[in-house]
Amino acid sequence: MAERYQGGNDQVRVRGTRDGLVLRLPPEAPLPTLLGLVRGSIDGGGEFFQQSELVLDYGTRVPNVEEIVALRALLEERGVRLRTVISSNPRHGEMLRSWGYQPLRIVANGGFDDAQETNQPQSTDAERTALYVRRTLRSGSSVRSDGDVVVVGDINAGAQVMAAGDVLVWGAIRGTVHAGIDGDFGAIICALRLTPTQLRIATIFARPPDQRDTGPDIPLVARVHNGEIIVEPWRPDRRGARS
Amino acid sequence: MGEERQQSTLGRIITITSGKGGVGKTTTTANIGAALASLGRSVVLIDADIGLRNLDIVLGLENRIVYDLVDIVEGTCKLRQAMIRDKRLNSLYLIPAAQTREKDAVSPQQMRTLCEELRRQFDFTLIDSPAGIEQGFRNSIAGADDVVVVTNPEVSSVRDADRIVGLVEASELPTPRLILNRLDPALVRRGDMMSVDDVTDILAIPLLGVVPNDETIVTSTNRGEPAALDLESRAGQAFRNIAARLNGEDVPFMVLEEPDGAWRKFLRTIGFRGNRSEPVRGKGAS
Repeated sequence: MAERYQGGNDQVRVRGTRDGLVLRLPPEAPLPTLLGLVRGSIDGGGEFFQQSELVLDYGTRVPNVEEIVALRALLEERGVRLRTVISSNPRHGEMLRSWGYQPLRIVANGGFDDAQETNQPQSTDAERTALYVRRTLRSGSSVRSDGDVVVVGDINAGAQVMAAGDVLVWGAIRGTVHAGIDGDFGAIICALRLTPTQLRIATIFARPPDQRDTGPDIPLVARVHNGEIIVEPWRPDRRGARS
Repeated sequence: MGEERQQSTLGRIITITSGKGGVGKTTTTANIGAALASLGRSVVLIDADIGLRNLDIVLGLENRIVYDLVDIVEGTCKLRQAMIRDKRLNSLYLIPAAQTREKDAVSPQQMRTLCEELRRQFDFTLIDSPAGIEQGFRNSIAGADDVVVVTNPEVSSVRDADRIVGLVEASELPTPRLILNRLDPALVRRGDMMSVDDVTDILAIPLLGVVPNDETIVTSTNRGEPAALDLESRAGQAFRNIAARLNGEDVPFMVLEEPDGAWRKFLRTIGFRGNRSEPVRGKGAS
């Protein structure tokens, strides 16, 4: 596990870990200073950060949505995707989780332990496995996977799909889909047509508005944003749809 | 009674089912049977709804029942003894359900054996399935070559049809075909009823026919006279078309849309789908 320090206690610290790059934020620095520090460490890193994703580690710093949004915008500006935000304070961790930032390692008490090396729900892209379903799932059928689920066909009303990871549907979702069943708030659900009975990502549930309509005939992505499931058009220029 | 058909080819066994009750399976079975018989084909209808028999009533044959389906499989009577010849069409027969027994009085294997026997005697064997997905349904598809799913243009009926299509596909039968029963073009035009497209979009199976909602069906059913034999009836015409399609003829679909339905259809083909509200969102999300 390579460690690379970029300064002392009032500095942003970058670590390379099994979970990818982790940016440890200083506990005290006010937002403008913090933005400057982060900008500096990324720009200073040169190509090291290009097209990468990273984890923001709040350490003992008190998390703040506004701050995270600003940091995420800064990272995005530089082509870096924010994978998640973690904290070493379990109460802060819970707070981050409710905003949709899942901890890297979930432990039994519902908190997380940054130091623990086992019990890893997050796998890297290369390790991910997907269940491939090449048919329409009709009412009454149910599919469950410990990885991602790819359906080429529709998920009709009355059918149910549950996946520890993402659920991708090349077709229409009319039934119930639960992504990130083991608590992955970063899981996404996407479909060519999204008119579900209910969507669930990790512990968050969403249902369509009661005045049901067929919805737009465009590919959509559902993901967790600020603790709620939002649905937005699939934009090919922003692959992955996590921001 | 096998004299109506040539011995060279075997007949087809078609099960008519729906999942949900009350969508018009029995009426559909009676009407398609009557229409096929009036095309000169030999047809036997089996009422597989043991304990809740109805097909005999719709055909007006209730008072002629002596033996029934359970008597046949239990060997109480010979096959031909339980077959009731229709009072109007001499190539149409009915095997009624037992009213005093339950679904488990017949096994899937017994149904297969019976179907193999009937296949040698009749051009068409139509099985009127009970509602539900339990043994009665499983019995009714056990010996089938093809399945026809009847649904109404309403959400609950389509949901159950979808479940049935899944079960039929899982049982390695060919993809079932769809009859959309009781469509009201005026309601569809007002946007108050699912359209043919709405239903086929969800079920994604071939459409065998669309039967318009028709009040005369109620009276003809109560009188025991299939509407398919009434040349004035719109629904009867739809059933005759379905029968002709099952008989291998290429019959165009009836024009059910009212005049400005064509305009709506045109709008649909160019992708216009009216105003839409927002898709799924968590409460208060931006």
